[in-house]
Amino acid sequence: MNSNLHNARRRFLSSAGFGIGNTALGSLLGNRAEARGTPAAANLMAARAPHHLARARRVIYLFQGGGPSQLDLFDPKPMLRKFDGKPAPADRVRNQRFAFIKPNAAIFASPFAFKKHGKSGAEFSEAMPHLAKVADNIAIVRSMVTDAFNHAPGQLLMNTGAMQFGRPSMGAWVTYGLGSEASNLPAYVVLSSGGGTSAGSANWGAGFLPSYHQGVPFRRTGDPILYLSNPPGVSGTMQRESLDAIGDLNRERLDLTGDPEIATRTASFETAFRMQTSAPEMMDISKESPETLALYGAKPGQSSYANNCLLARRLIERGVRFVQLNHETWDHHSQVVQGIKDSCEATDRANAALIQDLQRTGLLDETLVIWGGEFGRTPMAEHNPDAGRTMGRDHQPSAFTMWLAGGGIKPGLTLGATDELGFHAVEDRVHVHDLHATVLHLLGLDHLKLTHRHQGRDFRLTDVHGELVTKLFT
Amino acid sequence: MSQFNKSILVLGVLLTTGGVARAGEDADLASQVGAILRQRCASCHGEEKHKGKLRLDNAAAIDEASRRMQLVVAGAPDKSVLLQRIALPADDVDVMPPEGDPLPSVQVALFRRWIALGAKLTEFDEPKHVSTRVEEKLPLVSAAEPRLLEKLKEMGAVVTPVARDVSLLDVGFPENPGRITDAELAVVVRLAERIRRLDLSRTAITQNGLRLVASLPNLHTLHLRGTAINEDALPVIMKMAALRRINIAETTLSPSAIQSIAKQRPELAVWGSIRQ
Repeated sequence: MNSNLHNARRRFLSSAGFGIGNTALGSLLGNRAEARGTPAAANLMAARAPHHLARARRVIYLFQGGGPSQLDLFDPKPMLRKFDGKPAPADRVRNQRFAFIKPNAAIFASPFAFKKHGKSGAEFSEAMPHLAKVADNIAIVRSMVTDAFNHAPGQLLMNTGAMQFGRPSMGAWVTYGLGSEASNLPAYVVLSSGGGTSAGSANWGAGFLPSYHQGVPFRRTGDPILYLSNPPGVSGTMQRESLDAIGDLNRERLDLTGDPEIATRTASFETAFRMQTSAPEMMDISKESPETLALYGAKPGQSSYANNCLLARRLIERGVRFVQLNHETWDHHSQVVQGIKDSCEATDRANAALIQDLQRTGLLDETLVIWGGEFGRTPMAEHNPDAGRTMGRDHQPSAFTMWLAGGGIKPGLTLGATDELGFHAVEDRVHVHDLHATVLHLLGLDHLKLTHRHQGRDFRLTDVHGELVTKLFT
Repeated sequence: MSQFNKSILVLGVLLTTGGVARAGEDADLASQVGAILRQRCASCHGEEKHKGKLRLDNAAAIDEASRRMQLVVAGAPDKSVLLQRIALPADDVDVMPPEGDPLPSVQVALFRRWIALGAKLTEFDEPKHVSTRVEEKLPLVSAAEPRLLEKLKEMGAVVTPVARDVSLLDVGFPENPGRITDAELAVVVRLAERIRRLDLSRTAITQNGLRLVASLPNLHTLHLRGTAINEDALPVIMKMAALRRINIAETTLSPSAIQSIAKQRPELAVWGSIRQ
């Protein structure tokens, strides 16, 4: 790719001064320009061949910010009852550091009942009755490990592969590797519910990659993207006519100078125009059948995790490469039981509905769904009267649970195990870097080859780490 | 690992005296020795050629040759044929490798330490890096005509090679698929044997169009979600010999029809259910 063109394009975007975010537009430029046969208008976001045959073509990433308690959802530990209310065994917590509690804090057995579900016999707590119904469609990884025990570094590591700011997010790497099939929607869309994420927009940033790889956050209320609606007094016809007039002038100039940037500019106006119709159409979930809306628990006109799950399906079926949902409600330092109940109330039905809907439409075959937070939570209780915290759980990087489904993932699998008290992943440990390598692999990308030169060295999503978790593959 | 880091490590190895391995050194050495052998020796002593009836690209072969011809004598570098041959002066006719630069002295020292410490083969083999591209032999096809590709793009098709350096194609219509009829499909099938994946979801193709699709010999994945195909599609689909995945969701095909596909073609993954 020609970096001068990028720069020129970005200069244009920053100086053009119309309302759509530069990123939104930047990520839309490519396809249209090439489709129009414009000379040398580098097709920045055109779909590109993967390194090897892909099993998944797109990703729906359900990021659960805060760190869901695996002990109350996916990883039953009956042994904890034996120690309930007593200090944690010293040999289990030796050399461990915790964010808020002391290693000798009292053990807290989960009050949630667990049951096996489906033909696979995968175990779920009663807090996720809906997800339990798709037990045979998803793969649960109980042996996730990470390096960080605080939110911002943990989220950065999970989302960008490094605990420092400045690295590209997983979604940015994916669009960098594969481009996008959608030319009238962004390649990488971010939908949020719950609180703001600790690591903020870095969770979907482009880092040192060209900024058009950055995720485009859609707004929760009103227009999904600002200024898609014309200002009062400007009709569609008026807008079309002005674009045509500008286009005519630009074409004259293009004939005269042959400057491809002029063609690019014309194309970008056209793409923005097209997005004015495509984005509102995509966001309008009232077109879905009442059954589908009920399945997700989605309500037109509201902003919710359920609506976002349904939107995710609508986005990927229109060719969007990477959809990231952020739902940060899982940081249960206090009253973890009620916290789990509330968070599941908001998400459980929609998670299961998404899997069922993707299964029903066959989209699941080529869509990779990833669910998880930045770390797990401790088997010990967090009590801190000064902070008003009681019966909570602290951060735990040494063992947590994620689940995956779809494109190339073995359905019904429960991978890995933690020790009998749930402190450490002991079997089939999957580090965050391994997860990243595996996700890229399923998309047809080799994490060793997907590099970008920056500050004199080649960077990867997996830095110098990452082993494929082949047991997860079908 | 970068060349620089390797050098640092090798320097560390050279400075370590005595015959006791540091923690993790055995595996470290073996993986480095393995990497060098695969890089510099396996073109003659590997999967394709085995000059001197010798392979140096995997742990099992090293083990076998060591029993047979003292390739590597654990603990005795000077008795090991491998070290003898790579340590010869560059102008010796017997030096290995015979072509290209001789192995740098740091690498020779690495082999020496590896053998001195017992020539352990743990992690000698290449880290298992599964690539579907290797697992599946793809048919070789010629590249598509640029003019045809241009025409398809104008029609709104997104055409992408299924992998880098491969001419097999993935063809779909993510935007406004409703515009695509049998007429457009007739242009698509001119790509013939190059099409591996064809996504016709929500297009306006008919049963006649589907017959055109049956002529694609390398079609592996076909999406017919939300199209007007009906039971007449079954015999046509059955004829698609290379087909391995099909999506017939949101069509009028009945569950029993879907089951009959699944029964007759067990290798074919069928996705979809009746229109809701």
